[in-house]
Amino acid sequence: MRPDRVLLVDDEVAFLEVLSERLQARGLEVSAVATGEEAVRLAETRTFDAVVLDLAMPGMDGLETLRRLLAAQPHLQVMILTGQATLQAAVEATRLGAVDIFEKPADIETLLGRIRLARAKRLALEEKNTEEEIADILRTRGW
Amino acid sequence: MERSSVPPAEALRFFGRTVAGTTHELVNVLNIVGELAGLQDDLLRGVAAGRPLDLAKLSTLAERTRAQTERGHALLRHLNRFAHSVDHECVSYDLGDLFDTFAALAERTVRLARARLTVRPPLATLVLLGSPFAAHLALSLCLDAVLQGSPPNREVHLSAHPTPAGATVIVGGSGAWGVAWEPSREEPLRQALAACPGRIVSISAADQAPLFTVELLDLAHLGAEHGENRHAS
Repeated sequence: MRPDRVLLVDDEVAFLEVLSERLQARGLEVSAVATGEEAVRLAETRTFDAVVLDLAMPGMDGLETLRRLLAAQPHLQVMILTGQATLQAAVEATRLGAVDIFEKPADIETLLGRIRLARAKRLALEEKNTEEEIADILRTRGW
Repeated sequence: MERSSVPPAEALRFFGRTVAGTTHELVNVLNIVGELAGLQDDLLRGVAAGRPLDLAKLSTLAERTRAQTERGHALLRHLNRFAHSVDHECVSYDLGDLFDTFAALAERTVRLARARLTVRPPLATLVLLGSPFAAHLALSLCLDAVLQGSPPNREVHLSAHPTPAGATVIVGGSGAWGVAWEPSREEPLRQALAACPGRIVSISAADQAPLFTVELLDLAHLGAEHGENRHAS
């Protein structure tokens, strides 16, 4: 089985580096980018089990990044990890489809557990989607 | 020269915004230090589980932690200096030091606007008698206007040179900009400069980046000119 694949998005590069190291040390395959634009570009070409996303970023902010990521990949499991979560931003992120919201500092083992859960959830959603597509083909073609 | 105070609501809003932005940066520093401690802990757990101690990695971790604590100390030093800028409405201050503090506290705003701030302090020590808090506010209003509509990765510059009555300060960008300057926004800047004291020399915008040229006046010079007593804290 391939390792869990996670995309970290945070404009604080020093934070990005150390969190990447800690997750890699736990066996995860980590991609790390410092902007929302890079995250959206990367998610267009690669599949991730989870995205860990900051909210306050230059250029495309976390909420807009979340919106675009989910528009491109509706089953993507995006978690917010932020140092400055306002209630309003948290509500908006949840409404847009974020699966979890963590305030920094987050416990690494809790974060790891949620990433693993996210992978299982993404696979289950994709499996369900495939089953529905097959059922749809069978129904429309009268097989 | 008529001198007035910054309107209290405007002063409080600016003070709060500066403190909030800087404390967000300090939270970032603490989060990084926390994760570095976690990484150190991971390393020690590995050693306890029988892996050899990676001394080079441990040394790098110490360096990274030190760099972040130095960053945090610098932010706190500047925040403290800024907090004390409201102590007196009239005090002697070094414009080069004020630029240092202004640039450090504006770092987050500049980064979120995806711009770069280049500071060219006065070549020699330039001490002015006036309100350093009002000077911070005036510079901040100019910077905000320059950052608004700034295309990504643009350079914004802040520079100063001495004049007979104080200092000329220039805040501006370069190249084509996205948003034109609205003259209605001059009033808060005029109010802040009146409290410094100072004045707008020129604001050039057209379709290019806005360029603010303002003069910060030295009350010591004005006082001498008008035969008043000099006073400094």
